[in-house]
Amino acid sequence: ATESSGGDVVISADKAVFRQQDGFGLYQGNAELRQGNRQVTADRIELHLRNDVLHHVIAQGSPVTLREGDELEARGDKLEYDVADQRIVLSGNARIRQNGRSFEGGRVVYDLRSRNVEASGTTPEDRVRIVIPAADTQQGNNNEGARR
Amino acid sequence: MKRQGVLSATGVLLLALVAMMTLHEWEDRVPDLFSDRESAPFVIAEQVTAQSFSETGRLQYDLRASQLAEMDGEQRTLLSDPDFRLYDPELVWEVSAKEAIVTEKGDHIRLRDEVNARHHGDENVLLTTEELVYQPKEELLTTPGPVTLSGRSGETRADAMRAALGEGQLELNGRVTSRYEQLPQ
Repeated sequence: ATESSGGDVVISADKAVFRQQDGFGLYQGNAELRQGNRQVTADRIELHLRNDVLHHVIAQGSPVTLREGDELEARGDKLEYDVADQRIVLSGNARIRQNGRSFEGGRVVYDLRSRNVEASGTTPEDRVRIVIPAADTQQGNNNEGARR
Repeated sequence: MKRQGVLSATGVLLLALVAMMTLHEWEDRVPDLFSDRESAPFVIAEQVTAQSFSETGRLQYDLRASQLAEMDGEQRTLLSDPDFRLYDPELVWEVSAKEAIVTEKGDHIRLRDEVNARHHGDENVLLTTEELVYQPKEELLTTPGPVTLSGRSGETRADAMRAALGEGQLELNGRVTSRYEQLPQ
């Protein structure tokens, strides 16, 4: 990502409810989360804090959308963000487009550190679908040829 | 580990509860014989200080006001520049405003103008607003207008707040925006 996607997390919504004892916050209505150049939009965003430090975010929407600069765009019915592990899991009609490649499946996992994407089906009918642009495969062949 | 202040707002609420009960107690101390007289302040006290001590003589709270006016017929007590400090044993909470109005025999307490409620514990939460209303019977704390809750690791702004003290739940309305500082990954 050209711009950093770390740093403060800013969340906004039409309304919010907090329950201190549970370390729980729920933002509802046009909810949005921003962190650097990472942006999530959803109907509701749930926060879970431990010792008042944000450690888990659950967003639900129709769909939830995730964008990270120009490099990545994703959507799904549900998005879970594990802040400590720096991992995002999309589930329910999940799809991630990264640098032109797209990964679809019942469940798609995106590692924010390694930028790796892992797609899996959650039911027999729910198969994984990966689309790699022809240009990428051509480039792959050229590299292969050059090495011989 | 950094602590995020916004969810400890309920701690703020506990303070408000104690602060408001104090104002309520204060209102009771003014002799009832004044309550049937008509308009205009009947009793005015300047540079008021009220302190409460435990049986062991330890300071529990300290309430100061530049002026206290008991409005006779209206069952209203006005406090100017109220500053309330709660000790346990050291200073834990401090609530201040330009004005406090106690009505309905202490069942409706309105703090107005530069309302600050600061928690001096490790949370260091500060609630700032222009108007804070406390209704002891309903255990309800509301701010009709914009409110900011800031703590060591975050800040939340909203257009209005409603806190049900008994349920430990804080509702924020109008566009709500929170900033959570994150430790570098």
